[in-house]
Amino acid sequence: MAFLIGPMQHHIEGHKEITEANEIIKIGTDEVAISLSIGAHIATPTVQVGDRVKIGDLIGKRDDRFYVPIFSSVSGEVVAIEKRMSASLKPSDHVIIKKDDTDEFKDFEKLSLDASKEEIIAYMKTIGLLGQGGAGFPSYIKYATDKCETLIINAVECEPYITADVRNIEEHLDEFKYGVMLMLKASNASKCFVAMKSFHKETIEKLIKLFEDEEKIVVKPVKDVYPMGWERTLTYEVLKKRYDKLPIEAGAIVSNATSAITLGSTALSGRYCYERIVTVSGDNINNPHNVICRIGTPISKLIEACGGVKEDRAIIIMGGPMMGTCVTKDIVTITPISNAVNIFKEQHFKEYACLRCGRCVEHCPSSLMPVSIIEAYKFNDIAELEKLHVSDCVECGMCTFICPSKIEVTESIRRAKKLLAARKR
Amino acid sequence: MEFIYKTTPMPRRPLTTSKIMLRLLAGLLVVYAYALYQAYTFGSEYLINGILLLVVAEVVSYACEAVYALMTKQNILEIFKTSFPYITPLILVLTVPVNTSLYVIGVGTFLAVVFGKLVFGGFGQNIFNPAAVGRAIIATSFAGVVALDAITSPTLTTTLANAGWVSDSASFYYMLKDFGGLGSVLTGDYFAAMGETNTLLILVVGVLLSIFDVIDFRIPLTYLGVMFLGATVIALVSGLGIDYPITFISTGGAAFGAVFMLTDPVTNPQTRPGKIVFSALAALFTIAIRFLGNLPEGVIFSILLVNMISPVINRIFANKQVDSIKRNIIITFATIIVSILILVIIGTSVEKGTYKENTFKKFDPNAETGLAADDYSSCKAKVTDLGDGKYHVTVRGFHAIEDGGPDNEFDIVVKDGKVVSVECTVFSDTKGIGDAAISEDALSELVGVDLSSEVDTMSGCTYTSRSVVAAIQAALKEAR
Repeated sequence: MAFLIGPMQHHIEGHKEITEANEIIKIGTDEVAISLSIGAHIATPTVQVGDRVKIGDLIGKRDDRFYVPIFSSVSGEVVAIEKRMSASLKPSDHVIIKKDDTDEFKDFEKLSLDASKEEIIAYMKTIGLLGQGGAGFPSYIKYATDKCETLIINAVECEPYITADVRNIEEHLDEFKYGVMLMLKASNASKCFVAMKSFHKETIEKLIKLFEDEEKIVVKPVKDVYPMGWERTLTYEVLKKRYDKLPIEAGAIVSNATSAITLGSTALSGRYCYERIVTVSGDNINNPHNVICRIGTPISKLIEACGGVKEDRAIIIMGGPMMGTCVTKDIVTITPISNAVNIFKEQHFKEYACLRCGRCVEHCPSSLMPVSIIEAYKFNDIAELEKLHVSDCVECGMCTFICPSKIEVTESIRRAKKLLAARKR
Repeated sequence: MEFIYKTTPMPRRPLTTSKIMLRLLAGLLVVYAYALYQAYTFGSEYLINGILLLVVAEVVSYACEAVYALMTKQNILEIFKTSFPYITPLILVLTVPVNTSLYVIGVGTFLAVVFGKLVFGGFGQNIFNPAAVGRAIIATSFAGVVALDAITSPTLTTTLANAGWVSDSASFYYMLKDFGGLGSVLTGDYFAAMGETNTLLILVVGVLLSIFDVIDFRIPLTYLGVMFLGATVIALVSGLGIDYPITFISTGGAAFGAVFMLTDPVTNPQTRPGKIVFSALAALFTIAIRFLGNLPEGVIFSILLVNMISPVINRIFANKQVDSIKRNIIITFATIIVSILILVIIGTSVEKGTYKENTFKKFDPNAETGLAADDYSSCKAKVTDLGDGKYHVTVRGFHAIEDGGPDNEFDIVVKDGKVVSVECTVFSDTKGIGDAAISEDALSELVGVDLSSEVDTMSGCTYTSRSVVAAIQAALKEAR
């Protein structure tokens, strides 16, 4: 099939070695600004200025289509609720909490491995477990199905520079195992694959050892290509099955490894996961490292802890350099789904005319036709955009990466998607 | 710290359009280098003309781009960097014979660059392959004046076309033998367009270009594959061997067109099924033109034809590739099979041509022309060197040839390769008829003749006249 479609993937230089072996720096803060906007979720505050909160106290929730709770990552006093720029580039409500030194917890219940499928799903909802790979889809909705045959734990981390997931797994092997077992039970699947890029040889060995008693759980090394971590590409790699909208159509649930650790750690300790590991990397940071910080820490603290920038003019990307969003303020704070802050030098590429070579078509993981989409967009041809399935684009950035003429293909397609969405409304 | 806004993704693959074009240039230069070597074996003047052809074509191409830049108020150097003006003239030069006149290549390049490329908006906007446009114009408009000199050696393609692309087994093998066998046909050891003859070299370069991600191997593979398979079936039906399909894809620039011209991404469909259908149709057009058309050359016109329908092919496959994979596979393979079938039907239904042994003269730039090349062997001239440039020649005249009578005899003085005087010492032919050829006036006409002169015999006294000219030819050859 690849003969007629194309590889639909490509190796991208990972640059993971610059952070992978480094120690994890712990970053303290005396104040956090917890964003009430996480990915597509926009929550409303449930606390008021002056309230005292503990770690794990509910401070906001989304309650319309989904229920998504947001918890405090520090104990202290709510000093303000104000609009700030969030990682989604829109001003959104942030709950600003001044941290005290008590670190008091509001405990959740622990969860044993004997829990039933329903209990685990309810627990996921209570602790507000999200897909921590970047999309932030609530896990309790994903697992509410009885069609799942295969659970895929996604530890692929296909974006360049990011090593947060693999470091998190290495640091929290027991929590990871516990989380995977709970997810396996919640999914009711007969088989579970833990997918990780094959070059992480040592980690894969540790994982094989970790799961050696579990018959259902198989460690699956995958190729070092992008976007292997996208659930569609990963499902095809593992099961050789394609689906229309959701992996469950192929009988699969795909969950991020960090989500499994969050679930495992909360279930074991009964405490909210108030910290997360974030990769601070890129070609414009002095000491690239993985850092561990409270949810709500501004990225300025992370950049400072990693020795600041090399060149003054800097591009800051929240998330991976392929799919992340560029932010223009360093007061943006870490959310549960932030896995990296990447800082780059300004770069210039010489742009040539489009060759119409079709490399973007061959490599598009959604097998779309970026060249034709751009042409249709230029002519405002809505019907053509729909025919070309532009809404199936996940903005993975492959077309821009692969383009030999260095055209900003992905950006044009983003605009085409917006145009189509606006016209449909 | 100053924050810059930049949309993701940040990383870029190192392969750039500029690198792709440089790799293509390298591939073309390999073929060009071989073409120059081959030109050198014809003679150094061919080598020089081969080099000058490229110089003229490149200068014209850069000049056109520069004028275009001025007219569209763009930076000339920027246009030179982003428009890759060096590719089209190089391809065009490789599609013409080495003895093409510089004037023709200049005009051809101008038309190729202006009407093939710039009128559409420059690099990346063209509908047709610019070099194919230039070549087609040269082929149709300058057919009579392409050549620099009088060499009108039949190429393998024209020979095949004249004999009929499908001929009986004996004819085909005569022809193949005349061209030096399959080995010569594959390595292009005969006179034709500069770049198109060495099929093996072109295919090796094509494989390398595919490995280095310059061209999509599916295009030449499908194009040559369809032609090869079709020709194989025709060969089986007509009782020809595997030599037939190999010869079929080795001639007429098929391999050169497949590797360097059909693969021009600007004029291709973008999808892989599209590229395969595009190539299969190009093969079909090539064959249709070869078998049914008047032109010996099918490749260039078939490229232009598929360039024209490329947007249509692109539309057929404009969908989400994964969702329509079954449909795409069916269309692709159906096109290939139908193309081969049509090819076989045409090939087996056309009238078979015949070809006679040794009607072909292999191109030899050192071949003698004029008097030296004329055939007077039937006169059986015998030369005796008398010294001081004086030669006595006995040669058969009318009576000697017709009824075994005595020979005519001449004394000829030669100086610096030229005839100084001719005197008839013994005249044995019919008086009153033959002696017109040995009259003083007639003989004085021959003074000053050398081996390169065109010498006509006199009518009315043909035999005697032939004997005189034969004597002169023999004396001049003896003298050199």
